[in-house]
Amino acid sequence: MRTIRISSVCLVLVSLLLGTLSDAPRTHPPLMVGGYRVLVADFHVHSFPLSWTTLAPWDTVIEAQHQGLDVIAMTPHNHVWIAKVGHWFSKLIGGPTVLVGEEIAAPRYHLLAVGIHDAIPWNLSAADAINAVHRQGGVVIAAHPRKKFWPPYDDAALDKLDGSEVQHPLIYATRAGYPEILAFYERTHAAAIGDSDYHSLGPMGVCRTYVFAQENSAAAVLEAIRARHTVVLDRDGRTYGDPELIQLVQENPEFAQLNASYDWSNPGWMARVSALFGILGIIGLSVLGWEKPSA
Amino acid sequence: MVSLVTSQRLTLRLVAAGTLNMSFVPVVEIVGIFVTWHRRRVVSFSRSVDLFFLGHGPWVLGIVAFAAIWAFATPEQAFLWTAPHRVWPLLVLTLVWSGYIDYSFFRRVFERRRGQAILDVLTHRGISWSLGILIFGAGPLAAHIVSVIRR
Repeated sequence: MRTIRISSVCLVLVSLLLGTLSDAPRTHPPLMVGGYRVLVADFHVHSFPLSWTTLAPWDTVIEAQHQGLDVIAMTPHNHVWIAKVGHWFSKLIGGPTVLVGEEIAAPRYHLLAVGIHDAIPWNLSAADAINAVHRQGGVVIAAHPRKKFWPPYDDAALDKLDGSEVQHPLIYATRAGYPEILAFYERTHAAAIGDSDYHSLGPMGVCRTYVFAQENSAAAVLEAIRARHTVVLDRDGRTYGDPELIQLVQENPEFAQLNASYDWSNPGWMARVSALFGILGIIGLSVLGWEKPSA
Repeated sequence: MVSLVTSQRLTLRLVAAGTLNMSFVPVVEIVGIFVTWHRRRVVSFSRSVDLFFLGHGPWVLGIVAFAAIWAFATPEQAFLWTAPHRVWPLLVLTLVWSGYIDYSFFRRVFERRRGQAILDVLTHRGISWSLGILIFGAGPLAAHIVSVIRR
């Protein structure tokens, strides 16, 4: 048992060393296309506590910076104070632009309220919630609008939506997910949005939005969403969003390079060895290597 | 686990963050142990805690299996393979297995009769899981309860 414990500790230490060394931050130079600054954004990010995730607001901001995201909206479930902490912390460290938001998780719909300052109650109708967000100067994005969430959106509510998620991890998890959120997006005149719905599962920005803004600021990002100045790509290269902007980015090799940099399929040998040694070490320490307590 | 799932490796930054943020889990479990231990003190409280945590093998194995998928698959594959309908069987297996271990703990260490041991398992889980869920995910809870009631 002693040998297993010592070996396991060594495996975990080597794993930590290799993992930390190989965990280089993703960086990209500012990209201008058609007179706009192209910002990499994820508008659906959760933080610990209260929102079914593991990273605290400050860890979340650092992770966003690490993934090279220019903008995130922190959208805790049915409150905003966690997002305000993240916003404050990011300003403190000069991190990405953090928009204060909320995922209004109502029984029949989920909406992202982005750019607000006070929480929106979850017991409003979808149309009333959208109006409440607009009164605070924020924008509203339909979150993972699967078929079961469609009924609360009448024509008036659909018209008022500023954005709709057309890329979201559920498109990988379920066969029906992609056609359903795509069909919803096509019913709206909203900006195309790609979000990771980050719950610390997988990388932040795995689905993301390219925002074409005048500058990297909260006001400019909100204005860009209102103007539908967004582009979203899926993993097969299909594009959604403003047709003119899509044409511009398709002709731009720097944009292609930026998008290609968001690839997690091969993290490198050091990450692989780190993961293998880490898992073996944890099993060794947790299951095989405990010292039997004395009677 | 947090580091493996998020970054496909162990990094000091994410290991430290995950450990610190998830430290509420052993704390709420200890609260649950205290309540069940307090009824009839057969062994010392610290020893009860030590012995109880030895029974976490099923959870560790389940979590490591989950983390291994995220560490070695692409995110797209991992989202598919860890979709809720695929994870449920693993979760049920872990629940039953760990439940039996906890039951054995209360029977042997706390010397409870069968019915009392089952009650202790339920008490412990009721307390620690309720507290844990409140800390981890209270935000959408009220709306979710309303949604379930309306179904």
